[in-house]
Amino acid sequence: MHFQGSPNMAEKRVKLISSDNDEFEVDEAVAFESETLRNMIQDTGTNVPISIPNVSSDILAKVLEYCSYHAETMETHDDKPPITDAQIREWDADFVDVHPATLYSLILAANYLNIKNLLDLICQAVANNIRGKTAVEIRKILHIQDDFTYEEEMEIRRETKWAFD
Amino acid sequence: MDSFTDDLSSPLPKQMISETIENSVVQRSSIINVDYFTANTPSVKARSIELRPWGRIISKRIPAATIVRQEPKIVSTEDPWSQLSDDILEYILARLPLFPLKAARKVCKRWEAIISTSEFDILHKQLGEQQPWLVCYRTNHLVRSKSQAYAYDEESHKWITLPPLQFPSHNYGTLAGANGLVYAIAGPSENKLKYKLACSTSSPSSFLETWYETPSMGFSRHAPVVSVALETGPTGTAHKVVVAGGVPEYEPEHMAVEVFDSETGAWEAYDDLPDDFSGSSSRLWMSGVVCDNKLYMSLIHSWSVHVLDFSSRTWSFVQWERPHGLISHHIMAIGRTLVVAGLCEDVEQPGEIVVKVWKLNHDKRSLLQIGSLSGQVFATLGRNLEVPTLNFLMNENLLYVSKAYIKDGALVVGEISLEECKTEWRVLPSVSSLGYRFDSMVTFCTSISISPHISATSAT
Repeated sequence: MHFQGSPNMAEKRVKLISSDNDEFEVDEAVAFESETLRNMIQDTGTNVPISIPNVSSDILAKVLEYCSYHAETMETHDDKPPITDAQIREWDADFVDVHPATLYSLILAANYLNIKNLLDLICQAVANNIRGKTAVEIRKILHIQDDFTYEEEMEIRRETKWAFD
Repeated sequence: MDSFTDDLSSPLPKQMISETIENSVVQRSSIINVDYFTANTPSVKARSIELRPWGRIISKRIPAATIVRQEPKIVSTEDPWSQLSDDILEYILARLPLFPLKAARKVCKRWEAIISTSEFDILHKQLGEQQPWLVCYRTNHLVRSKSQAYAYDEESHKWITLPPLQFPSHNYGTLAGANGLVYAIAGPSENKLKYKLACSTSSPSSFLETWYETPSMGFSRHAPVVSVALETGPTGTAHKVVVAGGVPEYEPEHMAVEVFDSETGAWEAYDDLPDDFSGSSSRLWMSGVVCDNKLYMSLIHSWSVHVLDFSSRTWSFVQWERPHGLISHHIMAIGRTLVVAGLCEDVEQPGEIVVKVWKLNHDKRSLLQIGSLSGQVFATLGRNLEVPTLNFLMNENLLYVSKAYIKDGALVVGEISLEECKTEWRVLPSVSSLGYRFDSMVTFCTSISISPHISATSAT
């Protein structure tokens, strides 16, 4: 960690291999957005390509897109105005505006790669999708089976009586 | 599009990266927008190279010999969400506000089990929205156990019946809420009147469970102005509670202003209120708010605004232009912007009155109108406003307006947009239809989180 921020760092490149064997090459700072990758790189260095067996190319591309944007927002350029929080929020909102199935895959990837901000962002996006929907609608969107018996459902209704008309 | 390398300084990195991949030498549909259900078909040819200095992503295909082809997953039929670990599912659900959480509980047994744990309560408090609640506390003087508090849920537009609130005394005269805390000035104790200020934090499973007592104030106060300010310092968030007025006039120092600082845990006396407030130093006659490390105080029925600067500890008179036709007003704040709401004579229809809202301009001298309440919504507060006094309560950017001293519980809320300088008004469902009869009503705002596990009788 002590060498973080040294001028040579930006030149280091990291190779990543997705589950379907695509090779991605990114700046070390981009990979460092992921705690998992950071630990791996600090153990093995950047010479060996890192295999990520449970993340597909499509999802890895999207994750790296997130990481590179957010690594960039940390940078300060003299010639460019800094990226504002509002711009980042807008970018993030755009980023998670995808199909629930993609969100699902992104959650798994963000969790495995340990990118906390991305996990937070996607979990909030899923929560926002659920919000304002009835239990029946949530089941439909997320393909979840209703496994309550009638008695059990009545019991929940009784417990949460304050919330119903 | 073949010259994507020219895009090095593009301000839109996301678009650029996706375009780069889309328009690479490879015939391949967009990676980014691919529908994961159906289009998960890997290509075999080489990928693009992209020359972005920072987020440079280069991807290429490994020689075919090493490729282990995977069957494209059709996740939709497999119920992928049931495969998420409990930890992640909890992490998602804990972000839901109170009412959506009720629906989530009914989705399936697993969700219900996750939401029902006490660990979930704690996580929900951390991650869930700290929603500012309007709390309405109604007292019944004959049967105290019938006194009841309700919280208004802005998202579902419903009143929630709260579990019994254990207030520290029978005197509910002064309640204020801010920044996740509720303050009550309680007492009296013994002959020598001493009031204590108590604040409460919530525990995961109950609302307002514990009251903490501050040391006694220097003076006993009845109906003082209370304003709470939040300060974020190196050791976290501290709050300052400013109490002014309400001291009986026979006390020699009845104009004293006292400030409680949660950092030091002690009260500190500041300079007395200016002479203008003499004889009118109670909540009935004056209005005050802490904003930007200053205490603004004004007389409701006239237009005499004074400001106490906490750093220089001096009072000064501020000369703001008096709004035309102003009858009475209250001063409040949204963040660091001072807001004034008041009753005005209607310029267009003489004899009629309207509610108007202003914010303090950047020049700190003049007021800019940002809202006006009249017509049908205004009429729900009652037509007969001969004693033109309304209660105003600011909760972040929501301004609650109700009739003072009248128990019918009519409430109007205005959603203020400071940037667009406008206010949208709507009528809240009536509290008066709920529960037992009551003798008096106190409203205050707090952002204490309400546990999803409270169970009380229905109130809608």
